[in-house]
Parts: sequence; C-alpha cells; structure tokens
Amino acid sequence: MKPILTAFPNFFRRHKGIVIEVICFLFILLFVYAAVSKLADVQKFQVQIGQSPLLTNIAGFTAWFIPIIEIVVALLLAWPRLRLYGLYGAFALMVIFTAYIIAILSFSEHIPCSCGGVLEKLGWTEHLIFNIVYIALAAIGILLLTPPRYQREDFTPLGEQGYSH
Amino acid sequence: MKRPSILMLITFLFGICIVLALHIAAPKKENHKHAGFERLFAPEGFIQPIDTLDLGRHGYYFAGTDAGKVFLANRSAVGYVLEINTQNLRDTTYHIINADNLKYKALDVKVNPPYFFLMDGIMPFIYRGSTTNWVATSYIDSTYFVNALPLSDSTFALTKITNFKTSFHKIIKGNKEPEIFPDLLEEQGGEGVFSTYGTIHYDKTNDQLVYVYLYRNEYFTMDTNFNLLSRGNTIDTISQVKIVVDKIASENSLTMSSPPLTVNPKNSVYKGFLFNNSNLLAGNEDPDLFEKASVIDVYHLKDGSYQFSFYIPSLKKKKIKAFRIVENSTLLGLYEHEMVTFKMSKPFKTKNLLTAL
Repeated sequence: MKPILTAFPNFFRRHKGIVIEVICFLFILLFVYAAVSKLADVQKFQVQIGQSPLLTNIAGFTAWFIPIIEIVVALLLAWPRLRLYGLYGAFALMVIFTAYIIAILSFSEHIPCSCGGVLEKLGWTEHLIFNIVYIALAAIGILLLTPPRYQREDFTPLGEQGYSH
Repeated sequence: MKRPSILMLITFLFGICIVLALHIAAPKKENHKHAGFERLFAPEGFIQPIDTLDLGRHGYYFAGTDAGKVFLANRSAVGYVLEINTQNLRDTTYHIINADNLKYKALDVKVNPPYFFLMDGIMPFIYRGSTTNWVATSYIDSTYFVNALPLSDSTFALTKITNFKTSFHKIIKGNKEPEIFPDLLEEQGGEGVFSTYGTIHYDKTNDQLVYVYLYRNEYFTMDTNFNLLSRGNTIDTISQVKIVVDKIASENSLTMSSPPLTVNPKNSVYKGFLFNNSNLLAGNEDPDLFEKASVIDVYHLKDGSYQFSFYIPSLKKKKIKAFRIVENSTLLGLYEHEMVTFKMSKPFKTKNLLTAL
C-alpha cells in the first residue's frame, strides 16, 4: 500500500485538468462573491473596515482596492493563458487575508469583521481554517499548472506551450 | 529547489510583509497618549491572591452576590447558575434553571436573593423565580431594553434606546407604563447612543445608582427614583468622547467607523466606593506594567474624591474579564477560565476606605 503522502499528489496529477478547473472555479466563485458583496454596499464596507485598527487610516482606499483586486484576480483565473498569474495572485491575496486575521486576533483589542455576505457568519477560527484550505488549493494549483520542463527556467503558463514550441 | 516553490515563497513573504507594514503603520496605543495625569499607588502587596477556582469553561459573568457567595451565569450555557462560596472558593453548586421552553435572544441572568431574574431586552421579557427552587415564571411583560438591573424584588432600572437616543426607565411590577428619565445621560458630539455608553451599578448599602461612562472620564450617582445626586470625574483627561460614528445608509443603522478610545471599561461599586478599571496610562506609570495588569482606581462616591490605585495581576497572560468587591476586603477577579479571590490589606491609610472594607 502506498503511503498517503504520495497517494495524494498522484491523485492530483492523474486528474490534473479537472483539479485545476475545480480550483480556479472555487477561487473565481470566492472572489467574485466577496467583491460583489463588498461593492454592493461600499459605504458599509468602508465604515466596517474603519473599525479595524490596522486599516482605520486607509479605509477609504482599501474599501475600493480590495474588491477591485479580487475581480482582477478572478478575471486572470478565468483566462486560461493567464491562469498561473491568477493563481499566484490568489495565493498572495489569501496569504494577506490570513496574515491579517492572525495580526488582528493577536495584537488588537477590537476585532471587527467585514467579510462579505455569508462569510460574515464565520467565526475567526473557521475563517482561519477556510483561508488555509484556500491557500493550500492555490499552492496545489500552482504546482500542477507549472509544466515540469519549465520549472527550472522562466515559467510559461500552460496555455502557451503550443505556441512557443 | 524548483522554480514554483521559490516563487510561492516570494509571494508568501510579500503577503506577510504587506500585513507587517500595515501593522507597523497602524496608529499605536491610543490609550498611552493621554498620560497627563498621575496615579497614587497603594503600597506593593496591597492585594494578595488567596484562592483560584478553575471554572472549566469560558463565558461566565457575574450574575449577583449575596453574603458570602457569588453567583455566576454563563453566556453559552444559559440554563444554569454557578453558586460559589467566596470565602474559600469551594462549596460550588450548579443550579439548574427551570423555565419551560423559554425562547430567548439576549438572555441576561441576574441573581438577587431570594429571587433570580431572567431578562431579555430583545424578545423582550423579565422572568422571576425563587433561589430556593430555581423555577422562573413570567413576571413583567417588559418593553424592549438594552440593559435591565433589578433594584429590588419588583423594581427594575432599564436602559433603553429610542430614536437613536439612550435613556433610563424605571419599571415597577403592577405599574402599567415605565417611568422615563430622559435627561440624565448627556450626549456628546450630537450623538446619543455610543457617546452615552456605560455601565449602571446599584449600591445596595447606600441605596443609590451609579452610572460610569465608557468613553469619557465621568460618572454620576442617582437615588433609586433617578434623581441626580452628584457628578464626578475619573482622574484621566478624556472629558470628550473620542469616537467616530457613521451611518450605514443601506441599513439605517449607526456604527463606529474607527476604533473608539475606551476610558472606563470595567467597574464595580461597593459601599459608597467606585472601583474603576481604567484603560488609560498615567504619566507616572510603567507602560509594561500597565499592559500586563489591570489598573483599578478607587473613588469615594460621596465627595467624588480619588483615593488611590492598585493593579489586579493577569492570569496566564489574560487580564480580568470582570471584578467585584465583596465583604471581608475581598476582591473577586473573573478571568477567562478561572475565578481568583484577592484579599485587600487594610493598613493603607485612607480613612474612609478603612471603615468600608
């Protein structure tokens, strides 16, 4: 019997295409949903993140910047050629969000929440687990999408293989 | 190393750096910036920890005290009350409340022997039961309220918000309409909800009410008919609330849009003295010490004079959640999971306090 640690990567590699599609779909769903629910009521979002000690001075900027970035990343993910950049973007965003949660939980007396829609209902621990799962998904996506022979050279997204060679 | 792992590491570090930058750039320690006052500290060793009781779960709050005992209720396990002997922190009893299928949203349990009260300002209702059998039945079909404080077996002081303005109400069993006292709470910045936040206490010994504002250096005392007796100030310099209130237009609701500066987060009243946990660092205080403990300032309510200050230490790096003063110079400190009794020593030369404790 194979150890579970090698069985998992093998499963992902065998079903590479579908796994990447699912991961990208999950990210697009998350980011579009989060961005739309923020943009739908920017004023409320701005007031809410103003309560955060880390963001209170740049609340006006952040209230627009975060949803716009989320939509940009979702668009990158939707476009096969730019998908790898999208995954790096998604990875970075999820790391930022997670680091922010950890920072706010450990250094702050006031812990406000301003995630959109149903995500508001998550507790901080659930939120943390949710984010870490998404970070792992982005990492899996990046590893699967980077073609083996490009891994030592400049990476080229999968979609460009046919054209460049 | 493969290329994607390096890129991912760089991306990861980039993300962490952004949050670190935010953290570094964030406004620091607002409560350390207003140190234009000084504290007079009681000699070291003024309070000594006596006993510690592991409560086994978090979410406890003070529901009431009686001679030699304290009652704790729990926010997550609303169905019972924990009774503890304050002199040895043993003899704990779990009382199971019986109030058939009571539906609640913001249940607050208060124990005022020989009765206990189940109060919910959102549903709203006030139930009453006897502390001998712990069976509660509907007592008053109350109006909506934010906070309710039993003053006697049948009288309650309510804090209510109507039209974005907070006011006191007194409700007596048998009277149809509650009495309203609209002018006692003074709003600041043209805003009557957040700027008037605070805690109301009932001093049984002197039969008076004490209201301590959360966001400014002020408190006042009233008799139980809500006649103003005196106004006093805490020793810090925050006479104007430092809060920013914004309206969320889509919800027609008011909320704070920047972190507020809390002045008097926790307090307790005992025999004419106000024990106030201040959030503000004084000029003659060590910031590290201040951060590691909860400072308590003591005031004599009769003349509003500041007496002295002392620290309640943290337990497992957590500050007290709430505290109460009870007889025999005992201070009850409620932490996340534990309750600790402290003995306050009498040798400190404060004439009034000596007789009170």
